[in-house]
Amino acid sequence: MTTLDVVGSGGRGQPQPSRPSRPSRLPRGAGLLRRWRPSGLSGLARGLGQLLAVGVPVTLLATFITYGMTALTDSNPAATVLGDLATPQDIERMNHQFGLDRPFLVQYVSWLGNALTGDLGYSYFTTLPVRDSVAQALPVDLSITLVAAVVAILVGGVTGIAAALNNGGRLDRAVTAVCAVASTIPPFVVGIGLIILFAVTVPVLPSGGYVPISEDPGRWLKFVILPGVALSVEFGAELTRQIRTSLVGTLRENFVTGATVRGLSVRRVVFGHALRNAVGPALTVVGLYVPRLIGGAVVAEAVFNLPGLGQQALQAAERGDIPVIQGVLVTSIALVLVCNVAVNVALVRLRPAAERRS
Amino acid sequence: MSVLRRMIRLRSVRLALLVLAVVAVLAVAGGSLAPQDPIAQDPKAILQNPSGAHWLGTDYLGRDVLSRLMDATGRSVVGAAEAVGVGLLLGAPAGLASVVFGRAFEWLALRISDALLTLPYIIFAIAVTGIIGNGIHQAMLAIGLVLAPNYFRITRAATLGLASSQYVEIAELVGASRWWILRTHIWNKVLPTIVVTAASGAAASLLVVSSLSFLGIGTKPPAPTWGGMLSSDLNYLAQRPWAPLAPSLVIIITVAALNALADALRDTTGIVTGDPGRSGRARGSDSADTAETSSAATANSAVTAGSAVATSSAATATATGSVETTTAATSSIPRQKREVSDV
Amino acid sequence: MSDDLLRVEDLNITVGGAPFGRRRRARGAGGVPAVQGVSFTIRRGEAVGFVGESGSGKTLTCRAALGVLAPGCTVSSGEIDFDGTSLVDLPRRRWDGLRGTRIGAVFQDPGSYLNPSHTVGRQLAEQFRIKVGHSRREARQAAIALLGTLGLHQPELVYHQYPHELSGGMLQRVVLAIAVAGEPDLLVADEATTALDVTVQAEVLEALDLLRAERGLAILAVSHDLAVIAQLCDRILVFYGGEIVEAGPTADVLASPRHPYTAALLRVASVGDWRRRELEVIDGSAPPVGARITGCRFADRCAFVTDACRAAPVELRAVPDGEPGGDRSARCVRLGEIELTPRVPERAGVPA
Repeated sequence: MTTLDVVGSGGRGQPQPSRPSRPSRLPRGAGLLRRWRPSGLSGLARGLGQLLAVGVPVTLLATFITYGMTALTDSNPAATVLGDLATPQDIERMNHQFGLDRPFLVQYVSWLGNALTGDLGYSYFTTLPVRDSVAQALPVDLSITLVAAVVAILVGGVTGIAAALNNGGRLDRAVTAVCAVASTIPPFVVGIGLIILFAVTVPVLPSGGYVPISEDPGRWLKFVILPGVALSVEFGAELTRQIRTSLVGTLRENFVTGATVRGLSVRRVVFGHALRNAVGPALTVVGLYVPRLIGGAVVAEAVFNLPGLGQQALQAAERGDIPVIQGVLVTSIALVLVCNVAVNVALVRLRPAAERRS
Repeated sequence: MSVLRRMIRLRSVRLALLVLAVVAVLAVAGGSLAPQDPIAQDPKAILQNPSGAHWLGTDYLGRDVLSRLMDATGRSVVGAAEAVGVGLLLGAPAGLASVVFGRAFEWLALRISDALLTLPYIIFAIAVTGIIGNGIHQAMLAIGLVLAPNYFRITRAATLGLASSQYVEIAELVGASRWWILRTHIWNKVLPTIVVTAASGAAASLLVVSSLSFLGIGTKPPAPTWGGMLSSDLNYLAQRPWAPLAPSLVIIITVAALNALADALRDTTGIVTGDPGRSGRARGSDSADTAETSSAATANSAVTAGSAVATSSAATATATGSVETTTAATSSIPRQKREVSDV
Repeated sequence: MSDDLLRVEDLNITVGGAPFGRRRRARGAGGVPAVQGVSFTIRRGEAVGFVGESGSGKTLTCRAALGVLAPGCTVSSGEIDFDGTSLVDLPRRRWDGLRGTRIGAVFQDPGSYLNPSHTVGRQLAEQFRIKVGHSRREARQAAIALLGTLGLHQPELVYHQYPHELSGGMLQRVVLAIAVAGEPDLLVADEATTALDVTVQAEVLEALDLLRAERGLAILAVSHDLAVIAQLCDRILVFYGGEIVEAGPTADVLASPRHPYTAALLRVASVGDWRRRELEVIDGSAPPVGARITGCRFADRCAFVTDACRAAPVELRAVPDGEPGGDRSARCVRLGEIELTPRVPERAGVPA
């Protein structure tokens, strides 16, 4: 049997000097105020505040870079679109149509303004609204990212907890070794491996293609599961490691001894007490991994032939279709920001005590 | 240096250095050492399995896989080095400067760093190469930009820890100029941290470079790249299902060697780079700031492609405590004591 | 049902051994002995005090009785028997049945033993729900009631506080409430009052007295503060170097100690002596944990040492001329020969 010795003994036994004793009375009326804990609301406010403080410079910067790059290049989209037979007047007309003859900053600001209201411009080549093609491609990436996140959190969480409980034992060492190996395997290699296993050798799942969930959930799952699992490996390994380390540390804390000595079962100590305090760093990892997941989704699209944002961006990059590139970039940045806010809010709700510590 | 001497004693380090030496040799002279011409096509010998003539078989154009692998080494390795270099050059001095040059600069640098951290690296690389041009250098510039925040954070945190230490205070009291302090005291102490981070950053960069070349970014066909080879192998899985094994293994082994080196460095120098600890307060930092310092310290471990577990020290893992990110004001200056990090 | 609640016989604990191991016995292998040959009994409703310096083994003994020895520490031999159940190598499930409902514990720095993410009320109510079987509402009411009983003002407000919002004294009473919620028979109080200032200490001791009176709670109190033990406990055990060196009823031991170490402790503590101006110390220092010493472990610091003291291990012997039924013992070769200056501990009060 696994050695579930969740004792929480020893560790931080250093005596702390006592706080200056406050009178045992609480100020009148404080009780009512204190009982209403607006942690949910203030947490949300905090999260939004963070979003503004970080998100605004981020979006400005990233989009500025993208826009700025066009100034650095001497690419002439009008010429590219119209082809070799274009006359200078044609090019000038096209430039005016694209709005490319305005001063740079004006272009940038107007583009940004449009983007904030959801208008991402029009493709140079297809003249279709960028928003539409992005809206079509986005669910693909969301699907595999979601599957990857779910798999990684479930498997990584369970493994991390098990390894922490078995600290120093065989399971723990095996898990740590597996995680170390898993981190060195690039997701696309995992993807190829999965294809070989499940699509070529044992043709159980398709090796490419996509169907929206609204059309056919069953087939959607079949298309989405391999790329999702491929993406989840790296994320899951890091998550496992984080949870294991922080849980091992938390289990050494005095309050785990306190919970043990009250006669609470292992399950209650770990899931009811220890985990809530240990989850913080792991959640941070989740938050930080979101850009990587989104980036990895692009690679997964290439391996599994999925019509997602990455493919859009690649095609647009080949053709110099700048509005599409910018649209994709801005969309993915928005995704990352939303995830960050969610993670931050979750963190604040998990640690109300920390929030009040001055 | 005594650090090198201590490291050589570890078997993992010797193995890693051996692997990296081979890789380095191939990087420089891979093309010429290859048994056959990497881009010579042979229509009569398409998609062959390993044989006497072709040790690793041939690809879909009849090119010798082994030769292509060896030739590709340089491209991937140099690319990764470039990315790390760009990241270092942009990030480390900015990190140092952010501590020394006042609050305004600090705020600005932090915001820029945040901004770069939220960029999904591959899409950004695609965007950059799509707009500026599809070359390896442009792609590496993009990757370097996305890596820079890590080096920024690490140097900044290490400098913060030092800046409030006593010998720097004394130097200030005596009237030494900022430049002098920077150069003399801080650089010498911060440099090891940078080296350790660069080592693990190299592993991450290699993975990123492979991903990018897999997508066809930064490559100029027919010149082979590891990722590119995998990409073409993908199309012919039915005929040669074992084909991806060779480039995959090469990538994995190199990354593992780099990771092992980074870990050994970390263990022998006792530098904690990825684990925020519950140490004292940072000098005059606001809560959002410390939040980001701590989250970035974990960012480093998130972005760097994982560090292999500290070998014998699993049982003596130092507890990390929990990271209070968004709201608490406890800071997380990595302590430069002899701690063995366990992530 | 016998009167003996906790019976410890010839307990030996080693520390510093291997922290992990697949089998129970493998863990702790290779350690050094930190507690040797400890034997004592606690009867129902009795309050027993452990005194001694840090490293004397008193905390380790308590932790062994609670089943929370740190990794690497293990009971190498001896018996611990709680009301008929052997506590050595007890499986976790059975410990869960004992702890909280039969045995409770409070420690020093009570705040750190509480979950910082939950309100104290929630943690107390949890005890009532899980251990006593109340419903949510009943548990909440019982929790508030218990907090009030233990002397907390406005317990319904305290219920909603987080640990970091309460002072040390309040926290100790909260932890006390949690420990006794399940109405245990024995409470282990390991340095429970050490980090508190004197007025708060008095309040906590008052709470403990109340519990003893109302529930017949037996107490195992550990402290290096003789005054606390003097006030609280019926019997006292003096620890030194991992062994018990003297045992007996508190008043008797403190009035006429039979072991040089006890006498030295009393002299150093100067309980009740307000006229003394200098700090008294015992020269030398306690033997390091696990040191193998033949003969008396206090020999190097003892004023009455002879060659016979170091020759062979010293047994704990009954005091020959003690009061009948006094149950006194001391571990001294020269028991009965030496006359130790008695100290009369006055009640700690400001002299006129």
